[in-house]
Amino acid sequence: MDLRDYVAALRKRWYIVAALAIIGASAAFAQAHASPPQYRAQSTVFVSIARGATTQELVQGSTFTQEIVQSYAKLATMPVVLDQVIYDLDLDTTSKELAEEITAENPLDTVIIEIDAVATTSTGASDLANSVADELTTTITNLSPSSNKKSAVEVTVVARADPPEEAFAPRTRLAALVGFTGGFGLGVVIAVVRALLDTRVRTAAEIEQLTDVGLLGAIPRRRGQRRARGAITAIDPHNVASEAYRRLQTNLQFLDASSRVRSMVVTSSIGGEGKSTTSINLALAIAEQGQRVLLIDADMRRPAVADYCGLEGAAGLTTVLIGKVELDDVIQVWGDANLHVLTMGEIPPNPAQLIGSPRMAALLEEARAGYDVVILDSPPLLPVADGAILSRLTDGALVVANCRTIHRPQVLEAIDSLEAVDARCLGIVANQVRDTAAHTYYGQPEQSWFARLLAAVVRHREPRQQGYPAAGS
Amino acid sequence: MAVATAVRSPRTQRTQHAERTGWEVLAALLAGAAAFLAGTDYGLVRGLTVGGLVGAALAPIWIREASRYRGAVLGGVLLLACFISALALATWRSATHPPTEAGVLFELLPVVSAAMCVGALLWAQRVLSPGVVVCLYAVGSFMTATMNSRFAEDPWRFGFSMPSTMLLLGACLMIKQRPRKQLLAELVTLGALTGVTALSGARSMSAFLIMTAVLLVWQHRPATAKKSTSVLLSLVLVGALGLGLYRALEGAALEGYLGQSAQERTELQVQTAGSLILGGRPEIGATVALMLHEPLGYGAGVMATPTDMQAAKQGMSALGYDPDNGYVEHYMFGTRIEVHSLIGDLWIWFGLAGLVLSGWLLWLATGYLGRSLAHRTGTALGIFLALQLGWNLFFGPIISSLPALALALGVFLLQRKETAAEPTPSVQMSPAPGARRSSRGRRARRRYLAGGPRHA
Repeated sequence: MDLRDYVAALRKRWYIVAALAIIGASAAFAQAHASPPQYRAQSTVFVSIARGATTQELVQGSTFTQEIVQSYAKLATMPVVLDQVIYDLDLDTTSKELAEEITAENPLDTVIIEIDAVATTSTGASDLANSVADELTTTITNLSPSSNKKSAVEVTVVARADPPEEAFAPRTRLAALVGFTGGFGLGVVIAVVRALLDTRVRTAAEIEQLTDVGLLGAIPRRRGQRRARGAITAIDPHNVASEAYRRLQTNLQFLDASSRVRSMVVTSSIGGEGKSTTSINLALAIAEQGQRVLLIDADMRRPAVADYCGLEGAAGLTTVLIGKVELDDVIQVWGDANLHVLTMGEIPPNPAQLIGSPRMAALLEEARAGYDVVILDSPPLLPVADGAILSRLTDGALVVANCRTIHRPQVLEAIDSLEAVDARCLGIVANQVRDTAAHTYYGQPEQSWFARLLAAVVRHREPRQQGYPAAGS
Repeated sequence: MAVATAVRSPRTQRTQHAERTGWEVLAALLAGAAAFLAGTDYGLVRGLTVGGLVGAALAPIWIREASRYRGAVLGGVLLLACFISALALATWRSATHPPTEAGVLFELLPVVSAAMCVGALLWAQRVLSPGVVVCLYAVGSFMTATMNSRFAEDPWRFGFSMPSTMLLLGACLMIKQRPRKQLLAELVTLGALTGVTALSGARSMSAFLIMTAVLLVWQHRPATAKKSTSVLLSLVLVGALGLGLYRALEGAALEGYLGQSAQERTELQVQTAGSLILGGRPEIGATVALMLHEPLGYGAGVMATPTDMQAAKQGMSALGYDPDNGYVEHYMFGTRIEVHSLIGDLWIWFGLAGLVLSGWLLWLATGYLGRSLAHRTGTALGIFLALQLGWNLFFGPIISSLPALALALGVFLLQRKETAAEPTPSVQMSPAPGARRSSRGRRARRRYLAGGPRHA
């Protein structure tokens, strides 16, 4: 995944990212908001030696205090202190639970004990800190060695805890930010993983990157129109799609300078990718150039050309192959005088045998002799072998790939199946490509809903570009 | 997305160029920002750094690039094993050594951040160039140089020395076209840096700089009939040089050539343990003692028990160091266990997997040094960072070693596989349609179908 794919993945599933970020932030905020406030108060105790007559005694006392002060700090969280605190403050808890709320620390190289207490109320925290400090004082005095009934260690509460003004927890804003970040990150991960797992081909550029077979054309899909079926080149010559078919025809011309492509199979990986539509429109685009074209419907499984062109389909290719009629008898002229169509005829029980028969090869020879270009509409490559067999009989195959339905491995497998029989793949035609501004220049401008809304408000629309003379007329 | 409109190969060059530049500029900006932020090492929360966060956000982009580096996948697997081991150990020991939640994060997140930075740097140096990435990283580390707690004590030694070294030597990397000029620039820079560093009394840093200069000169020795020497011989040379320099610097410090403070420190360290290294790093004693005490390591966020502390203190006092002080209680065992060496810390936090990881790091550092000297391919900064990594593995605390480690791994130590696996550019000329596919193409396709890289 490069930067482009990453951005595309995020753009495509931005709603997941946004939704999870919002959910995360709200959940964290709600959780923080619902939890009780917590206050922290601190009291400080100073431990010193009670008496010291000489300097030496003072030094010894100081060393003794420094050594023992850490143990005194530990006392603050022990039952000996906390039980008394619970009794004094009349708390409904145990010393073990209360110990969780108290921390007593002895800063390095000092004889000070800092007692931190956490409670759900401001005064509760300060009372707790002070009470622990008081009880610790008493306990230390009781525990420390004494002489003449006077404790050798003196403990003084040097700073009493004041009720804190603000609760330190919950920090709702921080919690919401953390929740937001967490949700956002999860969203990004989901978007990236889904993009990695999604093997569908989306754009013509992806097809281009996918294989080293050339991309010969890209037929745009129009917004709000599920499918541009049938002979769009004839019905609407200025349509974006019509222009795309003309470009495909031009690219085919330049494909091979040494030997011109005179017969080709239009096929695809799976069904419903737009083979028949492409072959009809390509035939029309070539016929526009004044070349004689024969379009043969060689799809003996699901013939569509007769239906799309509104031609009589009872007799056709199969009728010729079984020798009932001659080729010229069943060819129909359609639209342009240069365009002849051979429909499929009756659906045979043995399509593969018919297609592989010497009669089929002879028929194609005959057709090539009579026409400048012969185009065969064939079944898809992955389900049946007809397309691959036909490709060997012609100059090559044109593979149509529908950008809305096809997956990357399918395109590759289809091309492999052609290579497996040593058939030539002329190139790929990307169908149903998302329309962009680049393709509306000579067609009807396609606008996003936002642009349409803006245009409706401003009322400053360009006149629709229609009524240009048809190319070649 | 613009749709290609003609046969692919003659696609209009201008459109192609314009289209690519936009993304390239964005990628370069992102790569630059990632390198800069990785350099800042600015902590967000519990050891998670801004650079690490940005690296994580860019992970989908750099992961494929990183996998093209020899050993990077192994490093990733080792790191993952370390995390699993750390959590497993912490759970296993929870009865006797209760881990703290904050401690677990504090030990895992800095390492995760560093790993993310390494990935981002690997990608960034391909998008930009190693020199630019190092300079941006150095500028980033200048930003947070003043945040060191001991910065006020000696601004050069505890603040600016590393960023300056990285920036100046990184700038030298950019004169790649003219090797002689580059060598000259690197030697002059190293000389200047050594001067300033020695005056500030930073002994180990001066040693690395001098060693780098010597190795650099050795690398450019006059060519004999045999152009490359053996890797082993090169490593022996590095070892001998290190030892000699150690003795020389110890002497220089004791004589007072590196300033009074260095002289006093050296005297004290030699006095306490009889040797400069053991006196300066008494934590080694604790590490060895703890390793013998708990050979499997401790786990993430684990606190030392009084028994562990006792064992560590005994190990330290065996070196002649008096461990009964606040440093040992508070800094080494106060909030977590820190024994001030990458190997020790990795072993304590991640168990045996951590030991393997540090072994891998040592292998990379020695590999780089051996390769550079044998094949004359090393750069000044690469050699410097490899030497420093070798030192830090034994004597450098993990947290402060991580930034330099990330830069070393991200730019120098890992070697890119420059083989046939190189992705074919998307604007290649297609072979004649219908021609049989080359074996590489077929392999790429098979790999693709098996879920491999998309543009392969």
